[in-house]
Amino acid sequence: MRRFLLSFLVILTLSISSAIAQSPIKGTVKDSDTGNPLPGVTVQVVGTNLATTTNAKGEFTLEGIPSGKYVIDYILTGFKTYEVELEITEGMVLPEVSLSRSLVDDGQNLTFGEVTVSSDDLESVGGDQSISGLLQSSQDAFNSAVSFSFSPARFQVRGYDSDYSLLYMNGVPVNDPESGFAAWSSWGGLNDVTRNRESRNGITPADFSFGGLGGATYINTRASQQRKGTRVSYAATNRTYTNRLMFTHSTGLMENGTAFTISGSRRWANEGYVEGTNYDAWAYFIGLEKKFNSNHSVAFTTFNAPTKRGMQGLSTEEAHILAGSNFYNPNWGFQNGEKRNARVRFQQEPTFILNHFWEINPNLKITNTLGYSFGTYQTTSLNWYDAQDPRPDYYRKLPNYWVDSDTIVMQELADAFANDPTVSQINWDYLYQTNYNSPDFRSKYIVENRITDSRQFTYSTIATWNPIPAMKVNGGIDMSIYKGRNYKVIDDLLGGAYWLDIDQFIERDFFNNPDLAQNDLDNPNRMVKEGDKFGYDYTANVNSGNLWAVANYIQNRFDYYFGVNASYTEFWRTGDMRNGRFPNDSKGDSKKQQFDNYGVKGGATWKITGRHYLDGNVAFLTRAPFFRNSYISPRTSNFVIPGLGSEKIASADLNYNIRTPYIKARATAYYTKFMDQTELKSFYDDTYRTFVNYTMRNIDKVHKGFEFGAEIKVSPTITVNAAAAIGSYQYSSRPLATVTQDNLGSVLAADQVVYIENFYIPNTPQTAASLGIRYASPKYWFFGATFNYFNDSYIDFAPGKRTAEALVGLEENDPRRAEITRQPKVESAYLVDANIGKSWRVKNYFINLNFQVANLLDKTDFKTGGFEQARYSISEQTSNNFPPKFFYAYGRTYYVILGLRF
Amino acid sequence: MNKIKYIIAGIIITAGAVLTMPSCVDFTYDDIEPRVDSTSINANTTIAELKSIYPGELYKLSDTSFYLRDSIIIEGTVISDDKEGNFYKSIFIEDGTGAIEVKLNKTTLYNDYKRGQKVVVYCNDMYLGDYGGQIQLGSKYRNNGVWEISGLEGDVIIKKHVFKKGNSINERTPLAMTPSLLNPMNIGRLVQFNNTQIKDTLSPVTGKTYTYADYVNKVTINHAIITNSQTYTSAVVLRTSGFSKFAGETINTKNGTITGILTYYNGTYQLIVRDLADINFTNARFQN
Repeated sequence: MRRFLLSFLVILTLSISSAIAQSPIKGTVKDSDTGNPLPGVTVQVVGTNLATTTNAKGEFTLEGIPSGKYVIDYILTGFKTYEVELEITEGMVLPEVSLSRSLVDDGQNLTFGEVTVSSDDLESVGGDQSISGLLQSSQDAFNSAVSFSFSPARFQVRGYDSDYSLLYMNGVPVNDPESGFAAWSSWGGLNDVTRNRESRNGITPADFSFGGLGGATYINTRASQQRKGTRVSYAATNRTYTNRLMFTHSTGLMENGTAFTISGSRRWANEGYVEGTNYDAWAYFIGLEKKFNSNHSVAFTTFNAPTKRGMQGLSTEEAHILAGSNFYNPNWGFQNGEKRNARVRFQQEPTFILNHFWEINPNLKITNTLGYSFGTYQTTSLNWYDAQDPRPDYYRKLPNYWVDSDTIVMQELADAFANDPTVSQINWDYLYQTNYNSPDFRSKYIVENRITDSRQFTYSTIATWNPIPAMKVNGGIDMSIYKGRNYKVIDDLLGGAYWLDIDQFIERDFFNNPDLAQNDLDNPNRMVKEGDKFGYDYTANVNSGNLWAVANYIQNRFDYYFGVNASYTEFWRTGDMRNGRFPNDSKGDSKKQQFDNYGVKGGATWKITGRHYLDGNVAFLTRAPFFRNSYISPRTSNFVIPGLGSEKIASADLNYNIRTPYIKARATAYYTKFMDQTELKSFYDDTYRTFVNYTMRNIDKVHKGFEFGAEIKVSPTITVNAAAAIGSYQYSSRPLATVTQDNLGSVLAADQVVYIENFYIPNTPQTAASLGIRYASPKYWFFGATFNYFNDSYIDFAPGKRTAEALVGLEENDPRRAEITRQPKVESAYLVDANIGKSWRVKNYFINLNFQVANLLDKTDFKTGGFEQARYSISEQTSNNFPPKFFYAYGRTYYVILGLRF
Repeated sequence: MNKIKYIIAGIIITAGAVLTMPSCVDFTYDDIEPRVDSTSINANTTIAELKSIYPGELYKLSDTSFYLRDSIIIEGTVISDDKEGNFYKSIFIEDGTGAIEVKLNKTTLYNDYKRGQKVVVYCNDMYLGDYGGQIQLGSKYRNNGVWEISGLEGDVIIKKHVFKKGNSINERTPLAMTPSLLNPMNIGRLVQFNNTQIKDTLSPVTGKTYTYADYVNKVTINHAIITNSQTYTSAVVLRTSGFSKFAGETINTKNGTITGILTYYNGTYQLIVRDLADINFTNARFQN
């Protein structure tokens, strides 16, 4: 790694010495309707890594383009992309460009990125299956399809997890340091001001980052680059929320050199698409920018999106059939006639970003950024002590558990589930009455609130430098200090007077040793009340620093680039409670885990003509593990998983692009190999009759496949879009598992071989395709429809079933072997979407009305994935009582939006 | 043109109205008030009468036409308690005539049915059966092709048959045992043996004092008990589940009063205590 750093420095030094003045290419962009300058327009030289953004006056400069024939795209959300082919010479001023408004002004609303379900936290450590925000529908037809058509099927580009895509907000890296997840929900509801984005696919180079394996996105909210004017919109829908109101005003860059943007929104629903899911999300954004002179600008941005919502829970097929709906939600029940959801999520993350944009000279620009945020992420959940499981779909409550009973009884159970909400939903009344009847009102049932309070400080510098006309160097440094305090509090004692802070499983198994059951040994047998911390309390400390540079060398026929990065990550756990099971390994600071990582990448573009080009990229990188996957049981102790270390990734892709006035298309082949990954799952194990932590190491995976996307203009009014992804994302090793008892830390099994070689990466279709047609009338209305097809999606599997131990005693040809070990696949499916819209202009008022229907044919049995429940009985060699749980895409939904802009 | 103005005005007015209206998404809930579950159904059959119907094999209680009643209904006071884990998925209820084990396929029953709680059991469609000669009331299930007595299948079925009556807790006084009372009529009742001790206290294998049960391997253990004032013709054992919380405790080797549910298995009378408070041994042992 040091060698890479060294060579990077050498290149840097050489380049500085060779720096000479040069003449950039300039141009301006205006709004065709108003004639005002348009800031924030991305000006992209197609086929190169050369792009820039227009300033407040609509001006741009592009450095380092060798003379030649090029296609240039002018891109701004809400406007039609303008494309022009030009013969460019050094120092030339490009003809002024006017962009006209697009009919679909609010295209982002088409995305479905808000389906969030919560499964039982014990089933999977991640707990949440959230679809992160999606790539912007940039000029790439494939990416448009991913954003608009593939997302309902939980499609993951190239099968990568979302933490492989890096996300930046005004220069601040915003992936959660604890888990790596991209934090799109932090600015939910601020669509108007977050639409200026720059995205990169896969390992292609970016100006603002070394990039992740799955690409990088930079959201730019500079006030001077926000479109001047006021926007008000109202949307009605029947998805996670039912109403959305949004307001935005931007001054543009004013005479005195300042720009100001304010935005706010509310999204809400008393009940969303899924029963018992209420939703209340607010958001605000304030952006200020002061331009001191042509060299210095300072911007300040602050925003927050407090969101509270009742969650959807997943259930089994049996419960779905009984309840008569694939959207049956076991999380709610009637309380005094109102639907109360037991799993309510609240999150917010007020963020403050200060940027200094410094143009030292036309060839060197530096952006310095300071960021601070403090967030909270809270999820409530039922908890209970020595009482019946309150979940209505608990397996012992469903008819199938009683297969050996009288058929009349099974029928009665089925009828009750179908007709009686005190049976099919949470029976809050029973929980309250049980607490009222408990001796000295010790609560048997409570609602607890699991909280992560985070604070993060970030600093970054990003530099863009053209030392010589044919060379562009992007580089930077970023640092982050993060503290995430994880604990839980009593949210509701449900009529009781207190909760005793002990571990009931330990109490049951080790009745003779009361110390062992203490969650807080320094305050034993504490009676906790509403608002009190209990159970666990620890802080995740994560610090990191990252240094990167990408040098691009531009020639007439060929472009080359080479990039390196080096990073340092350290994390440790600070316990704030002394746990009775781990008195010496739970309180105070744990040992620091430290990781040095690096990445190298390079590639070349062959510009066959200005309209055809071929590029290839290769990368090798290592990545530190995330805190959340590193500790066996972070709630109780400091122990890290066996084999904790950095994973290694090698990746390559080859892209062919074509850009003609009638067709824009890309075809890509890619290959990625992941090595030495680790995974952690926690669940109740029937064999050991206890909660276990199941860690796997030596996980290798291979992701390979093809992507294709094309936009074809059949006539001036008719456009056809086609996209396809055909991939194969598979495990390529047999990992080793270590099973530890959650509450004691004892190793129950070590180095168990997990036979999952050739298993599929779960919960993304490995085949997806879409075909869309769109008619845009010159009279300002449009109509479009898309047909989407998905196949080869597999559900997440329970590794314990794929071990020799699970199959003990079964003959080689016993059909049960295959039944136990095969990985379940979900059925293929197709969806049809349609949309229609019209816009009007009255003087300087613009009104648009769009109506979108997703899943027009109301297909409600489309499984987009799922997971096997990990409970498996080795003695009975079945998991029949714990069948898989599935995610379903929503049935027919609509989205109507009425917008006004002036 | 005017139309457009109206639309614009409409949007602005709507926006203003929506933004200023109070938060209407509710995440707060009033507590549910305490409530007393109490049935008004009365018994029409004594527990002794019910047990007398049992023909010696699994028997469905809908065949009651000869009673000219819609159902057999019994009423009794809960005398068992599963809080300490020594009872599992059943309650014993007793009236003045006798007691019966009602099998309910549910754990932590003490949350619902405390000792001293009066309950009514609506027996229609329930089954009588026996386990080792002790009559039980419950449901049926197929065990390797053979129908056997089992517990009522969870809350949905339980609440069709078992009803709480009143909320006052009146624990029954245990029946003081004598040799003549140790008979099938009293199986299932809350009984008390006086001047009693556990017969053998030292394990010949380990040389240590016995524990109530095998806590480590979760094995149930019977300890013979003897009294120095009475001579019982049948053996009586103190039976403790390996899953009970006190299974691992060393037995009380003294002498005194012991209270529990009298159960029966293939010729052996078994006493099952609810918790260690039922064993009140404070006197010196007598010589075995």
